[in-house]
Amino acid sequence: MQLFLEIGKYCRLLYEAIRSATEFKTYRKNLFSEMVKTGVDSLGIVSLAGFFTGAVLTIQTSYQFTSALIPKSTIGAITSQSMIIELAAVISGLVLAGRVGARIATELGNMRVSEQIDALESMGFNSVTFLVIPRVIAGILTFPIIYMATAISGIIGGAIVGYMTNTVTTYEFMEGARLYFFPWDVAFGVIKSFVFGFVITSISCYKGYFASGGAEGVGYATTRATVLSCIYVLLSSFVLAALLL
Amino acid sequence: MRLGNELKIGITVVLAIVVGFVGFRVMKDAPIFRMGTVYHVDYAKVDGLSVGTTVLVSGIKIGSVQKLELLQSDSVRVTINLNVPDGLPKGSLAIITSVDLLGSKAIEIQRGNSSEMIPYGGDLEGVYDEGMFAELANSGSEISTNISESTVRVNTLLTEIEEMFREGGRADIEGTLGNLQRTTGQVDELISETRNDIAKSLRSLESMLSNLEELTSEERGEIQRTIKNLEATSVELQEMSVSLKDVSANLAQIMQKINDGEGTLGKLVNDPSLYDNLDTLTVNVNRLVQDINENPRHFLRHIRLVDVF
Repeated sequence: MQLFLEIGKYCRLLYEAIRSATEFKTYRKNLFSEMVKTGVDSLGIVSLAGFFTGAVLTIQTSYQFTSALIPKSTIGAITSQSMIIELAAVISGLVLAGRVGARIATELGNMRVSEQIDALESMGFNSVTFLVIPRVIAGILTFPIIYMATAISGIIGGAIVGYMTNTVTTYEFMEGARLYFFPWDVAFGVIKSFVFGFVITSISCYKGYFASGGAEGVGYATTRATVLSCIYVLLSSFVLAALLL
Repeated sequence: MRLGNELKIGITVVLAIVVGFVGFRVMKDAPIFRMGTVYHVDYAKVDGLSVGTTVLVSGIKIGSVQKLELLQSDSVRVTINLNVPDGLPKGSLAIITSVDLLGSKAIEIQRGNSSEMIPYGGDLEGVYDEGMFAELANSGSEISTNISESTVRVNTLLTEIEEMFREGGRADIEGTLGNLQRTTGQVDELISETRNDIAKSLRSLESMLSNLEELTSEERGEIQRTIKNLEATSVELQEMSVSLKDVSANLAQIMQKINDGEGTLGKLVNDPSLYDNLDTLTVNVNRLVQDINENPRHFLRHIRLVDVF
């Protein structure tokens, strides 16, 4: 019962957000500041995450490939293709579920328990338009860029580590990466990143927007927002892979 | 602050677009800011080829496969994007070859030697090289049938041998071995029985040889003289044969001359005119004699007996 109630409230929030999505003027200022906070400021951490993911992938793949029959370039192919298809989007999604989701949920929850949202409503502002929409749109718009940064830094990280540990030369690495590079993989990753951006920001907004019970309630909402974002990122990744690949 | 945010976002988006474009081109292995040259190749089949497959010249990568499309005739039109600044001459071949044992393929370009160039978007001639491994795989079934046939034969052979053993073959072999043993025993006996005879024969042979030796030592001088005579004779024979050789050479020369028609003899042998003359002479003489026989008076008219005597 609780589950359906939650889904219903979530859908109502989304419905109100979509209904007022055209009121661009109301949330324009917020949108840009949210895009900076969600997207631009996250580039560093996701690039770092991507770099190390690619590096670890390269080392582990070369550790597992001991057969002389398999060309070294396969290491590059595996690293770059798994970065592009799956890991770049999911790793950045998980990182941002913590970084962005927690921030959004805490912000909104705090505004809710300190009755700032009620104050906005009483001043005639549509609080959903003003608070939720810019965050969700910022997430949807900036996640593809974040995905790209993660994927590129992952491939670069893999190539650098392969070169430094002498397992695979940069040329072989890139040869393999190019051999198994399909434009559709990139499109799939971008689609995923759109979905993850939406999933993380909307769930966090929902959890923060309906937080209750003082400081403890905000903490609970934040935890739930982060956990649910992670779960739904993985779940939607699976669903998309099953549907699109 | 708001401007700051918008500026940040603008910079990020532009950077993202540039990096994304460059990254995409790098990954597709296309030249970053310049389109390569596009060619078309038609193949009957393109097993193992895919978009992004490398195109090589002498083993160096110069481009990749851009598009594969199935034509109505079930052949495949492959579009390749090459980075060749000086173009490809007409008659160039695009060969699909195996890169490794696992069946990875690449297109190898073999330049033609025409002075004319293929225009942008022109056609190259496509060749599909099966590769060693494919050939082996193709003949694999044949080899395996051969092997299985051979195994069947070996099996039957083995069963036959086994059966032979079971159907008393063992007893036969044992009997043969027994016979052999007996024979060797008999041979042994025979030798021990005839030992004395053999020894006697050997002794008489020895004495005969010693007699012969004695004889030769006694007649040594005689034999030596004979040998010397023989030697002298053979020397003489040699000299004689040399002079004979000279003679025969001379004869050969003469015969040669005769054959060539030189000298009197040569003419006699080779020139038929003397014979012809003699022939006509005899004919004439014949006629004359006939004439005389028939009309002796005619010749004798003027001869008076008185005058004669």
